[in-house]
Amino acid sequence: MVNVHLHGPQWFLGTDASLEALAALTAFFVAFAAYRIYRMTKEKKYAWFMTSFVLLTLSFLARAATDAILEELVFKISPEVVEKIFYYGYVAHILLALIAYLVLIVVTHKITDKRVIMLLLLTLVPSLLLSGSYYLSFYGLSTLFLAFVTLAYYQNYRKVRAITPCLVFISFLLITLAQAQFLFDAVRQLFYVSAQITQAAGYLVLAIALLAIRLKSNEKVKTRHRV
Amino acid sequence: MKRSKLDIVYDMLRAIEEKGGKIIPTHLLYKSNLSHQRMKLYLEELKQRNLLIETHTKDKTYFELTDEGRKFVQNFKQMKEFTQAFGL
Repeated sequence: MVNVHLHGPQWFLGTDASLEALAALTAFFVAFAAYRIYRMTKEKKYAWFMTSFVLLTLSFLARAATDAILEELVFKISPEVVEKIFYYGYVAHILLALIAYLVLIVVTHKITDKRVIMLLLLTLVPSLLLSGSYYLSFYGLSTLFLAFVTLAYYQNYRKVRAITPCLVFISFLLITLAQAQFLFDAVRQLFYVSAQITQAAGYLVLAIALLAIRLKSNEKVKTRHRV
Repeated sequence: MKRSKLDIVYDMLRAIEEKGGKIIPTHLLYKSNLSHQRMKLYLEELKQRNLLIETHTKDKTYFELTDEGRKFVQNFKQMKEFTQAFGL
């Protein structure tokens, strides 16, 4: 028997699904940019990076669709299917997101040893299967995984000292903070609201970073032509 | 650090772009930092991929950037920015 639980206060229903859809859209744009680069270079690191963001897109789509259906934003559903939608929707979101974060750790920390990658993947099994709450395990693991990704982006920013690596670092810092706030959602519903807003802000900064990358490469061409 | 094939292609095309889209072989040789033999090989490939064309005036030969060549330079710059931003 699955305990169906809608998160957050009543007035926030619907907004969460929209913010999750926004995250999915941003992740899709990052995946698409990585795909274009992979097509040009044929380097595996871009393919893995793209894979990570494709998984993240699917994960957020699953979550947004599940929340929208459960909150009955689009249509009414019978109580018999509510449990199934809740279970499969959230499990898809959790598994896809965790694998995406793992791939991101492997890419950002440039881990090449297959045994270490396998170990990371295997840590997911007891963490999820032996846990009393998928939801809490997921956000606990997400916080840890994303903290490692954020650390890699901080080190990259320190090395490069440019605006776009800074934006990427800020974006992942916000996304990590959001995961930690989700952990306290059971204590106070407002934590769910602030977590959703922080996460959306993180993905918005990521979208701005992507836009800045595009603008910066266009800018250089114009300057050179003027000279 | 050893340049990749893609880096060499970018350096050559950028050198042409910086000269206003048209360059003479001697300048290209100097700017791309390659031996004459290797530059000839690269030029052949770039012509085959339609990234540049060879034109002749009365006494001079030029290499001109095609629209596809310009697009390649643009995409490569975006790739560099993306790689730098995400530390890849």
